[in-house]
Amino acid sequence: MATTAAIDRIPAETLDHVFSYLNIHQIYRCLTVSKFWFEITIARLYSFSPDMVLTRQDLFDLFYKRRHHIRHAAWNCSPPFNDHFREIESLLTPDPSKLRQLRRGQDDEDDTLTPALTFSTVKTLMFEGKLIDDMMPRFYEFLSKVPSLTRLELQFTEVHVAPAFFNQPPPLGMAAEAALLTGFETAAQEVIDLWTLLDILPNLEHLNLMGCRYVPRAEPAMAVDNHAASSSTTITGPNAATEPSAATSNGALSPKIRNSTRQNMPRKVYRLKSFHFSQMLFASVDPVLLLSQLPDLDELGVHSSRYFRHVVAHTFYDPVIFARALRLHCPKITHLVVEDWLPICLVLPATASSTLPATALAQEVLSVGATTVIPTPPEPPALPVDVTAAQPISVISPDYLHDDLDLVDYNGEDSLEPILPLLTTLECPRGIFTAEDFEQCYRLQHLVEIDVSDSRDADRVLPFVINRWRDRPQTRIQSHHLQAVLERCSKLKDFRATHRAIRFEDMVLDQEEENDDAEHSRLVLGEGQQELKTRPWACEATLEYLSIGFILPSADKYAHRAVWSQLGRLQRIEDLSLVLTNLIPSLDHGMTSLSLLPRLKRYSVARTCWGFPEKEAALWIATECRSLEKWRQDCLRSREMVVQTKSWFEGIGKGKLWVNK
Amino acid sequence: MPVTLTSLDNQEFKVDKEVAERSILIKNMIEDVGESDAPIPLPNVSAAVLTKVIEYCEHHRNDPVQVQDETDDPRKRSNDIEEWDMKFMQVDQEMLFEIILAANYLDIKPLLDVGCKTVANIIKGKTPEEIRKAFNIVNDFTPEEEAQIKKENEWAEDR
Repeated sequence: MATTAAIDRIPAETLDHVFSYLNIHQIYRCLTVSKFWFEITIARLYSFSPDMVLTRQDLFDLFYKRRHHIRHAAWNCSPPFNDHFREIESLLTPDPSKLRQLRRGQDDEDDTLTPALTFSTVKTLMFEGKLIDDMMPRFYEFLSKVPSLTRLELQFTEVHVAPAFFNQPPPLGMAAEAALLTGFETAAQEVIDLWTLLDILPNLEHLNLMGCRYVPRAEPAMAVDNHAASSSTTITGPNAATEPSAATSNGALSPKIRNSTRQNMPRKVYRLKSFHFSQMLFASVDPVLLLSQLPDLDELGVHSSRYFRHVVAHTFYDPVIFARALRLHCPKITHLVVEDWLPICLVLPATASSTLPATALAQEVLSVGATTVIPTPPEPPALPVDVTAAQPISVISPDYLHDDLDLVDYNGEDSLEPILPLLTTLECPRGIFTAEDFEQCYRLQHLVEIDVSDSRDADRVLPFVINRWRDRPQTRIQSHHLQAVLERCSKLKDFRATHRAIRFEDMVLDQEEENDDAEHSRLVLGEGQQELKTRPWACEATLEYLSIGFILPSADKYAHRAVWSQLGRLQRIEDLSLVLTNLIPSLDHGMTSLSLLPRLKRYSVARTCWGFPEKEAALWIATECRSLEKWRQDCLRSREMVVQTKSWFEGIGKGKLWVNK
Repeated sequence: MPVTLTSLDNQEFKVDKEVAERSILIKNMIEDVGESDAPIPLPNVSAAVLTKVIEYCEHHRNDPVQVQDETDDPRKRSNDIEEWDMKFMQVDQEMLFEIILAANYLDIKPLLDVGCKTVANIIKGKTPEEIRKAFNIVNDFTPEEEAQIKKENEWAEDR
């Protein structure tokens, strides 16, 4: 009889980590070790850069044979790549709809690329890597051959800052800006003509330009697919005019001409529904004009690289103008993704304007009269690069700043609500919120989804947040902020605060509140027993997904019961994930409350110091929570407990319920 | 200030805070709970494994904090293990995997890396059958399935 292999206890992600040290030939040998290994290694095999083992010709011969199975394309273009476009083109089948009609089956001999493809459909293209200026026309030509694209991702090279920066707190103030500007200017060589891109891809709905930046179009007469250009809607208005052809002798428009060109250009409306950009894009693109052409925008993602972004951001654009553009031109945004802080830059009461950084004050944009209360800017220190010269933001025309609203005295808002009135989803992938920014969340009481999970990366790399406007460290989200969101956001359905925790002290009612709210949070305990109440959550009737931790000061069972009881009131909850918690999982400490959740399907626990629940609790929950489908438990190091717990569940016929995480 | 760690089998280990904080998990716990003399329970790490982990952390207490590299560099190398680490990892397979699991749980990335490199080095140069034998893995493929996989991915074979 075969014994259990020690290596079988290693979770898939760790095993994948092991495989990351193997070369492609060794990975190949691991494919057939076992089915479990196959699942991991096949994905890794196709994530290799094929250049490492094959000539490009071999590679494309291979992919060409299997091109009918290519449904997702991601392309890493490393120079010289000019030929790559031709090769990619050869992979695109004439009729993309046929691709989707193919399905996996034993009869399809060539179906093996599907699970781990580096390629996607002609409806979706993703490029990651370097593109060089003089290759861009070839790139546009390539894109013009796939006008059916609805999704395009161009995630070019990220800005690299010297590694030494990551081991110490970021430098503050102008020194940092100067260093960063130098870094950006030298590292960010990828450029893109955004309007050309939008013109040749008229069906584009999702555009991701993380890591790109824009330069003014150098070739106004660049070949553009006629159908594509004509399919966009043109706004005719007092400023509409014909496409200008004025250019300098080398084909580039002078700043002055460009300025007047922009003001007089017909404004097309593009179909973009989601748009993700890095702040580098706004380093030189005219953000207001762009946003004015995206009236259907539903999802906006503001990304940037690493933790210097908060310093960089204010160097590159005026937040008040950005806020104004969103308010004026993109009223349909419901989904906001910000990689670091909540864009407090959008939330600038008039009094805050005096704290704008010197570089922002120095920008010519102030001359449009929109920020009249801002005092005369001080002389900015000399920077290693001429940022103002590279900033077409100065060409922003009052025409589209002031089109429909009286914005002369507009200085921002003190809340995101008037800027993004339909906002329902707020996502912060890196979880680097300051407490001050996060307070916006509970002012936005109509939010339905909030993700402020604190990734481990953020914890390690960024132990604190520098306030961009005051250049000082600022506290990150605290326990009471999380509690405040739950107490105030009555429409919340999805709240992800993974790796963050609420302290019990912030949950309990104080004496005064207790008198006012005696009915709520009452625990059903035996006669004469102590009772603790927690402050009610406004989202108790709406919350469907919750990922959070709870930190209690002691093992006092009444405190634990109060927290479990609070969870037991989430009547619509389907997925409950407790991460970073010391909540005791025992019936005596109130875990029975889980049985009050009629819709609970998935229960997950990780980073807990208590490990497994007691047998009694595990079996009770497995029996009483009738909707429960998955119980995931972080139990990486306890083989005996894994086996033991599994046997408990199997003993009552619920073996499938339990998942070893 | 010493920190007390309690293992699965209730053994207590007093270690310097800076040593304990090589584990991001423990570091976060200390930050979350604040200054406290209370022992930190590690109910999934046995005393034997915890002893090894502490030995590693003690030896590397002065190492600079490792910068996370987000990019999954396919050219990662497994032959750059320090001599001390290599000797440290000369344990039986059972202990090796226990250390990896502990490093993963305790979030000690350098230790996890060394453990994974060690396993990768065991795999290197072996045929599928030799790998199965080395790790006591059962082959659950049929011969036909195995042949099919080899055929479909032969481009990656070292020929």
